[in-house]
Amino acid sequence: MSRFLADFIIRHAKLILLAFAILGGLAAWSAQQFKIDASADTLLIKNNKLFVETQVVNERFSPQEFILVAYKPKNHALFSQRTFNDIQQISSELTALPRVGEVTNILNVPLLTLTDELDPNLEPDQLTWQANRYSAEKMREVFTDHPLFTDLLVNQDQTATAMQIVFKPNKELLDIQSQIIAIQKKILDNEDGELSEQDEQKIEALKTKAQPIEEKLKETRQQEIKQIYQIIKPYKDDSDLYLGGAYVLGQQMIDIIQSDLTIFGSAIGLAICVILFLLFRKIRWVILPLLCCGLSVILTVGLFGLLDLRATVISSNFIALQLILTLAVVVHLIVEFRQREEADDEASQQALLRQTFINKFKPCLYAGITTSVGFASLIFSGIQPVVSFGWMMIVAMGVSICVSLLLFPAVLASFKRKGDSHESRFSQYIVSAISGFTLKFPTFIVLTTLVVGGGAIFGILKLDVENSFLNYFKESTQVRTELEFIDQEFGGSTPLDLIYTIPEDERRDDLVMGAKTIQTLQKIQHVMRQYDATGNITSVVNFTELAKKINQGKPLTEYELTVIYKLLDESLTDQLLGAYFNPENNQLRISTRIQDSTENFNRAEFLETFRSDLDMLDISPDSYSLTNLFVLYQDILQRLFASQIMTLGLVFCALFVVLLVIFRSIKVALIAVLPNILTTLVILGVMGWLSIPLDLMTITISAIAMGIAVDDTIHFVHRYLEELNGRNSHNDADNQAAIDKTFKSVGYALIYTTTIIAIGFSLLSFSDFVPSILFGLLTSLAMLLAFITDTTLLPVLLKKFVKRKSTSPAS
Amino acid sequence: MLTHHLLKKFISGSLLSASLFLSACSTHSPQQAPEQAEISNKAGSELVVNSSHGEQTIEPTVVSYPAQNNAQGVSNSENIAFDDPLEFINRPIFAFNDKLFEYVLIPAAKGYTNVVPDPVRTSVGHFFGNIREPLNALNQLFQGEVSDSGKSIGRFLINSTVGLLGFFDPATAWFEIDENVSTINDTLVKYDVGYGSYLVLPILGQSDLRNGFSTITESVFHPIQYAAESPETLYIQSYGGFHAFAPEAPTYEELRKETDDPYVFFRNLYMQSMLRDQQYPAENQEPQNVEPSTNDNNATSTPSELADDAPASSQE
Repeated sequence: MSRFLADFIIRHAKLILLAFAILGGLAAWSAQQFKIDASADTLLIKNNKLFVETQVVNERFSPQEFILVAYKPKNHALFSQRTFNDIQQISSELTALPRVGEVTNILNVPLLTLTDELDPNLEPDQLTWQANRYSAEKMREVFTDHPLFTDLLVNQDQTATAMQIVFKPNKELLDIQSQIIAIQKKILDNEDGELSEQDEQKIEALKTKAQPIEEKLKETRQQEIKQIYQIIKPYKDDSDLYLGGAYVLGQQMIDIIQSDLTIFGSAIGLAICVILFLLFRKIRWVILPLLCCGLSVILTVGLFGLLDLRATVISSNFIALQLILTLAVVVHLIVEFRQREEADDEASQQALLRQTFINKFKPCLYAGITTSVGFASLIFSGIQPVVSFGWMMIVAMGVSICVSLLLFPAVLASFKRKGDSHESRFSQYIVSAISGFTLKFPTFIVLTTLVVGGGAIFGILKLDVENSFLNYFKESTQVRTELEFIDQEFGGSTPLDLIYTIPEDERRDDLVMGAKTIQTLQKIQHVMRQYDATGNITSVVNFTELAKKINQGKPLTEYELTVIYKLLDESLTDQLLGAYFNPENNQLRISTRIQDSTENFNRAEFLETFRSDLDMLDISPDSYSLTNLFVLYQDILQRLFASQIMTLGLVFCALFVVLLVIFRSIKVALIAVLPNILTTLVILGVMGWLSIPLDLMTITISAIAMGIAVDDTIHFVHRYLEELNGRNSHNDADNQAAIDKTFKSVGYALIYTTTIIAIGFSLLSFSDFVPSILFGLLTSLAMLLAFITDTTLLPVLLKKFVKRKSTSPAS
Repeated sequence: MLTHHLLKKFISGSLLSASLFLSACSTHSPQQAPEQAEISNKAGSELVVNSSHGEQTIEPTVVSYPAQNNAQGVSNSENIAFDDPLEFINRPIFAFNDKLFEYVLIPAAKGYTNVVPDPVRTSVGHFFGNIREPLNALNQLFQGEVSDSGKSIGRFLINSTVGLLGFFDPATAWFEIDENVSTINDTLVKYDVGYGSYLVLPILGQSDLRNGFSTITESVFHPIQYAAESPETLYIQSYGGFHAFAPEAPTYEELRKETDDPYVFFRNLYMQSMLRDQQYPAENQEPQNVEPSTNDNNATSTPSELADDAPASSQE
């Protein structure tokens, strides 16, 4: 089989090159269709109840999309004419942006506390700074401990003020979304939580309709954020201006990922080139791997574009991973080829290629299959983005193997034999040192393994799941400072909603809301305010607090509340209370944002405490639900974490089975699977010990570690078995010789790939984006660990337990 | 004559009042049942919050007062049934008032607010507010609030002279002495006199025995009596009441429209507000003039006037 293929490829080299050129061109074109989708709903399981609930709630209370601009004067007082002028100027410029509905700021909010009483004919516009030009002193007083605006428009310390840029919703998109929600709502009512085939199709159709609008909106948002930065620029001399809010955070993340891609993409590429050249000292050994890697990535991306597979936050690493895996294959091929070249002075280029291909076809294919199996196990995690990551890696692996195995011989076939290939003295020294060490101290190696493994398990027990988008940015960066300022001073980042359904027995026909209901809400809010991590909290309670303040500190009666509610203009009540009170469904909403920058914040624990506190307040779980992004992310994380254990178990089993099929020996399969398990456990253990939490970005690291580690294992074991069974002997000395031989051949390839990838990816530690840093360092570590276990533990075990098959005839 | 603030009572339970010619109630002693209100008021004035933060108490922003001795917050979907022994007479009076409002007072009030320009109405409000300052002073004196009493006298002197017979309010504007209305009802509350029972006065609307007594007595001793002759005083006082009522006429109409049983609704509204005022007396807000922040908020208002209209709220 491999012989036939080798002949075919070498004979039709030109044809293959041509085919790849065409395919590459097509892929490059189709790659334009490829999309990276960073939105939250890509992270969800299909028809996730929590998500649907959040959507329903959002539709019901229609909170608006907004961006915060914080203004912090450097040398003048916050409440001063200077500030008012600046704010007015900036706001009017911002309002001029087409999609901006309004810019809420301290100058144009109705200062209801300035009224003597709640007049039914209340005209909020009459109670603004803009209408009355209140003095700076008066403004300061009004905003001191204001029930609504403290932490929202002015921070507690009164050092900064925020402008809230509220965007107009896109009517068309809103319409489509509400149609989708109307269908999805069925999930909440259905027992089994499933949608009919027909409904699924309808949703799919609607989504397709919404997609171009969403794309455009995303682009507009990007533009807008740039424009906002432009607008605030002239004011930066005298004051600090910060942007914040969920959309800005998202945009900053995309920006930083993109700039990382260009900077570190090229840096890593360059580093790989340099190392390749240092190792092999020939331009062709630099260009060929790059060609294979480049073509693999383009073909894969093109294929994804064609299949409409989208990269999400979780699968965003696939390019890096594919590079690693392609490089590994190519380096193995190069090393093998050079060794053939060195061994045989006479053979032609074609003959050498043929031999290389025959020797390496199987292990490369096997490595590809096992890696794919590792990633395939992700498909069973049941979590949509993880499943699609699994699929993407399988496709990527397939492409990489095909490209490397076809392109390598095809390209080289067109070259003349150059000769003069030998490994550098330094690498020779290292290889012999390692093999010597391994053969000399087997007990030490096994003991160390046990200790390290035990330590890793302890580390894993300390592993935590925590996702703070804020912590994605390195502490020293400007972005982090800005986002953190808004997070801490202006009421937090990640939204969390509590939806309280008024119990039957509290509903009253003659009242808009009973006192007990408000008091219950007040209790909840009181409890919420005391958590460290909750930022701004708003609900109808804030308005009753405001009313109480206007009422000289006397509480309202429930009848007075009803009177005010009924007398106020409907559009005004809607504007003020619409986001917090839904009379049709008897639902109230308490909205808060969680401060992502809270130190030592345990999100799971927080939710648990919150729920148990609600329980202590005698609020039955049926009467409230927690929704919005905070809960969604937490839910995904918990599921990911739970699926990790399941997935890992599955990966180990699947890997064992595949190894069993490949090597046809339980013993070998068991031994081969060990280094991989060890690598994965140690990676997770290190994360536990260093208290790096598992988050949306690092959650796939174990699968990645496994995927990387298994490559080395396969090549080593395969070569060892070849060497062993190719010899004509039974004793221990032959095992040792086989190990030695294996080291002298595959060993180089292992060292080279490890060096290239570990050095290349550790460059990512210079990034400003923490997930990139972690990814780079953990991948490098996984590479090193895989190398170490595969060159120490693996040979020791192989030597000890895998003897030459007695049944196989001597060659 | 009409007292002002008919609706103020519905809405905020303000205890201000002027006077009227209803004498039927004056014989009722207001000492009837002081306990009932007291008990339900004091109970549960603070909310107890049990949580992981420990046990804490907070002040409610919205309260309710169930009938009789029910603990607060036990209310259910049934309408609150206040003890209303006079319902047999209250209901017919309410019905009468309702028709009177609908066909006479509200149309008249609308015309009045449309015809008379705002500044004029504000001045009229100031005038009526000023003329009762001696009453305020007297009541404050009886309540032991000597300094408040002095302030009221000071306001009366300033506004009656510099303020051109009280049509302007330089005491607030220039001297920053805020108006502080105090009635006989306030004085009675101070001496722990109970409200008696719910009462609907003809034309004047919601009240209770204690407040009714206050209203009538004040009308008898109203300073206007010393400034004008008998029939004119009635006209002036009636006008004062009408003046205060006028801006709130549409409010009554609107609320009336939205309730199934207006009698019960307005009664509950009145009773709850009254009980709330009793529980949170005006003294709580004494630091009004001390603390700058409340200065601007509540410069001219009397306690608990929540849904009144601005000029009318404090003047009378």
